[in-house]
Amino acid sequence: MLDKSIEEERAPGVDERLARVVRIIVEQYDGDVKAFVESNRYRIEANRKAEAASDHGDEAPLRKCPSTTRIIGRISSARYS
Amino acid sequence: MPVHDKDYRENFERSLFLTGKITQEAAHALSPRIKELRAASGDPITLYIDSPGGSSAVAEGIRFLIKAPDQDGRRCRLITVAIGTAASAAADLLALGDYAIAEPQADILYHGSRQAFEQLLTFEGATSVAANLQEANERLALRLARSSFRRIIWRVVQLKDAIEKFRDGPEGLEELVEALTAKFTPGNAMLLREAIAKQKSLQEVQTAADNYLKKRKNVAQWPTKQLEPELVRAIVDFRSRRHKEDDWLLSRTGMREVASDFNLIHDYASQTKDLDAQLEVYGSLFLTHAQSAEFKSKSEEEHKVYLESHAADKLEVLWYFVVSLCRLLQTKDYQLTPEEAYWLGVVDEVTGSGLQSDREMIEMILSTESATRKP
Repeated sequence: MLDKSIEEERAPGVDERLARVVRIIVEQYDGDVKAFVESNRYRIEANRKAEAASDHGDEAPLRKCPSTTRIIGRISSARYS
Repeated sequence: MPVHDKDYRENFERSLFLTGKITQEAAHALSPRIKELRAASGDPITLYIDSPGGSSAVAEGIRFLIKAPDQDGRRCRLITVAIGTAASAAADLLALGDYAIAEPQADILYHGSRQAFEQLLTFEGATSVAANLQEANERLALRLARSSFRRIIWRVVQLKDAIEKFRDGPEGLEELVEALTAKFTPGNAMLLREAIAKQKSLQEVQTAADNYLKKRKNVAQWPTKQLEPELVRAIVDFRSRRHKEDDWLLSRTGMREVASDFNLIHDYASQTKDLDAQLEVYGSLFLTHAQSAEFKSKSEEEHKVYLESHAADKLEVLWYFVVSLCRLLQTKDYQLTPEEAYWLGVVDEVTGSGLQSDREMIEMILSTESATRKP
């Protein structure tokens, strides 16, 4: 045998995570790898956009608030005028 | 939120740089850092490569130092990243990473083992050197094939129409490989066509040897000592019949050809364990739609037997093709772009290319699972 040490090294190395990917592709995508990748890319991108939009939404009330400088300005003018 | 899997990601905090020629001095310089990283944790180590190559033995030494089991038997995962040139022994090291990444500017170059000599060679010396180089090439080709096989599986299943034909039967391999050649420059596409021719020839030798041995009684019970000479006879018989019309002689190139066939068939037996494991994981990707429906209706226990009878022959021809390909990579100079290295199964991922990768697929599943877990 040319390569016994490597064979011993590799023998137990089946990646369970990839096995799960294969099971999902076969069970849910009829073995179509491209369909699996494309639909997940689409979903991830859609989630990312939705998250970005909701982040934007959270910022909206903050934008309505007066800036810190204006608040401090108002406090100081009230206190020292 | 995207989920990252550290086993598939480069990590600068736990990294090493292999730049310049691969020499004993370079290995000595890396060793303390390797030991330090191994002692700190069992997390993967990233090896950044920008090297014109050098000693294959030293490259192997570096790889073993990173991957060798520690006192508790734990192994460390190696992530290789080509950041510039990865030529010769450096290209082998790149491909032998548990997860191999090429950056878009990387340049990957393959060629066979070479040996430089300062003194004049005698005939005996030259013969021994030739035998050593051939053995080194065979060894490297086999290692490369083992690393590339999983990657090639993921490449060919992306070739939409051709994979459907291949799912119908192993004779669809030629069409599958032809579809793969579209991803290569004309020069490198020739490599794939040569590999398919070589694969056919290897498959023929294997079948001929099987048929020859089947005629012997109780061959399965024979001790290796008895089986090996018989295997050589089977190969010589096949090759002499094959070269009936030309002036093929054992004393010319014949003996080398026989030795090469012998090594391949002999090693094939030791690789069946590897192939069985791959069949269990990837076999279902090679079933036709009808077979897939039948497969899904079966129990977990029946799956293995089903795959053995419906997918093993396809994986076997694909394996022979990958071995042939890797053997050819060790014969001439082949300069590969990162994308070509990806389609050839040398690397798992090309950063920024949009090509699908194991990492992306695994992280897709992890992120789905993490989203479902959220309240």
